[in-house]
Amino acid sequence: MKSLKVLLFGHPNVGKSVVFNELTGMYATVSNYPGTTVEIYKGRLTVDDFASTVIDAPGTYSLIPTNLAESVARRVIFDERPDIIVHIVDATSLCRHLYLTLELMILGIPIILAVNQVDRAEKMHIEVDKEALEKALGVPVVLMAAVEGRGVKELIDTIVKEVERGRKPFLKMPRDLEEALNKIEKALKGTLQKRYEGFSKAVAYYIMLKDREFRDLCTSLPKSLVDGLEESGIKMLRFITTMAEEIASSAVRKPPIKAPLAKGIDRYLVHPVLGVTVMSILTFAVIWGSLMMIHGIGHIIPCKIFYPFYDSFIRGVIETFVPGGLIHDLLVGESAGIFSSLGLLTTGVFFVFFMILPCLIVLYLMLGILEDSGLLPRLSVPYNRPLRRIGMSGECICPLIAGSGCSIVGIFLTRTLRSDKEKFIASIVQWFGIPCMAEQVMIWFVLGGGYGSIYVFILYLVLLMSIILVGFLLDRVLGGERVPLILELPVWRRPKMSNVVRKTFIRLKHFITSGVPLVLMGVLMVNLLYYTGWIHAIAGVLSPVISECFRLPSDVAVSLVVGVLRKDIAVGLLKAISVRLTALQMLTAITVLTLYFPCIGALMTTLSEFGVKRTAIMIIIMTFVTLLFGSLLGLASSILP
Amino acid sequence: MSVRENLVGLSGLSSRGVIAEIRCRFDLVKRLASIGIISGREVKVIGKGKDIILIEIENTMIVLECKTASSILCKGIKS
Repeated sequence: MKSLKVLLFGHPNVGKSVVFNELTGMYATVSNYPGTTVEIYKGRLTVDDFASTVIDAPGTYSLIPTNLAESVARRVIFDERPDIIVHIVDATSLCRHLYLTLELMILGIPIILAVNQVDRAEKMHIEVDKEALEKALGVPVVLMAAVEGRGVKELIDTIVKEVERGRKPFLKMPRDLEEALNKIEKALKGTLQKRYEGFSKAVAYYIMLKDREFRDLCTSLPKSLVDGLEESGIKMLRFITTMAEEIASSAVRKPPIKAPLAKGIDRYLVHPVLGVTVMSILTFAVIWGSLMMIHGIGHIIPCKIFYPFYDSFIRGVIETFVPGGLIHDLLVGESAGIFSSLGLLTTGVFFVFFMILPCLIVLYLMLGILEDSGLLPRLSVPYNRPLRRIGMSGECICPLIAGSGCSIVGIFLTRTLRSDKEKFIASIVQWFGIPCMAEQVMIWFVLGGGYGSIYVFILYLVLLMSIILVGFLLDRVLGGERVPLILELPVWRRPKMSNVVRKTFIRLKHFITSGVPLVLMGVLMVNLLYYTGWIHAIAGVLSPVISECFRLPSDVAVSLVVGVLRKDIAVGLLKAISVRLTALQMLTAITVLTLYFPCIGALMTTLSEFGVKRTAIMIIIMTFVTLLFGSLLGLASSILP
Repeated sequence: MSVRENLVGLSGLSSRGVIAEIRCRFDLVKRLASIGIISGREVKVIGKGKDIILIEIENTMIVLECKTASSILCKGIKS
């Protein structure tokens, strides 16, 4: 059996993941692209004599990247060297997509143009002439409506046929542009890394269009060539856009009267008051809804399953075989109870399977529905103005909302942002200003349940103030170029539940393989800290700050140490000493706990994303913010009754 | 339907127009081109906010900041 690599490529929201699901079924893996946090989906497709690996690249508008996700999409081509690229385009706006098709043709890899969403195009009376398109481009074309499963079989047949045929696309350019590319290619000879072998023409094209990633290679070009780059780049851009326009006009027939677009609601998105108000209510409803669902699940599961069945069963089994000692304590803890046991098989299992996993199921389902319905990108529009004032743009709203579920997911999502400044600010505010869903559930339980909801709202207000303060200051300190917001809004769609469930399933699988070991490691370390007595030694070092600055009892320090590993556990530990804390002291303790340090998972993600230096800067900023707000609240708690 | 000759920034366009010229740095021109904002293409203004504008190009809705939109010069279409 021959092995084959098929790469799915295209704009964001064009239906790539639906095509990927149709081709590969349920069996897919998701992994972070080496050295980045960008997710790459891989699946298997077996047909005739071919065992194919199907790779779903991140969505991109061009092969000249403007963010990390787009950069990874291009790197996948060079690193994976696919046998064939399936470029998925939208039948309703073919002309806009052909720009990328023409760029892909320069690579010299066989291409299939999959014209998706023909069902929508038919409704809008847009006709795509398959034969004319094939003739103009010189590549095979498949018309598809992936959501209905239309054209999937034809696509699979075309993939096999084209691979056997091995036909490479050819883009005929004007003579002067061809010569300019040849000159750059010639000058680059011997300087290209091995991964670009066979792609010298494409690299010459990127240099001509002044791609930042290839800026260093310009030093190997003669000065006369470098001086003329921008002029040839503009000519190249004009050639590609004109050609895309010509091909589209020869192959697409549109009705003289423009088909109506569902833009009634969208018109109000840009309204300065109405847009923000409606979207804020919607965002709040989604987050609140998730929180309530998780709160319900978090209450039902321990009462119905964990305490009556699992806890007593596992404790009985372990105590039969290992009645005492270190192993016993590491597995089920010294004493019973979720927050006092700290055993891997009790607290560890509870946190992973009874708390975090149900939270993530709700969060991922919600995110999937928001993504597929087209609502998530729309949130960027009304929030652009307020976020600009604190160094971010509307595009940051997606990572921030995801961060309210889990900071790790939120920090992952900052990869889609185009400026380093926005990425930095959007990540640091998630560290301290946006507690994760699991922590929020505990906050409502300990602070809301024990002292009243008003204190939880004060906490949210303090966190919002800290975000505004840090964002405002960082915006001024970091400076840098402001990247303009240019955003395509996908069409409103009814989410396809099978697609949402599948996405959730793949993401959960990824969490179980990469996140669960981290959580268990955290529980194990807390247990060891208790077992060795080190936790009290570390807490002893922190206690002067705790009692002097924050006016809190020194045993709160234990929670702070645990908070480095798991913030939700740390908030839970505060419950044990709640009888000795006033409402304002509890508010201060939870505020400090939320602000002072990220959990280990978020810390590791940030380290991989930003490196040691910038992560250290974030920690310093967090420390100042914690000292400022913690001291103010501590002062208030000592003055007010 | 007739095309007006005088050029106006996209942010100043009242309803429909044709993009005539894009006056901004090369990096931005590339990004606009890749998303479909190029000279000669018909554009329709759907909504305007204080600093943001929602346009429709080839059945696709695109959001731009007014600052960017003002560098995209259009000829208005009178229908």
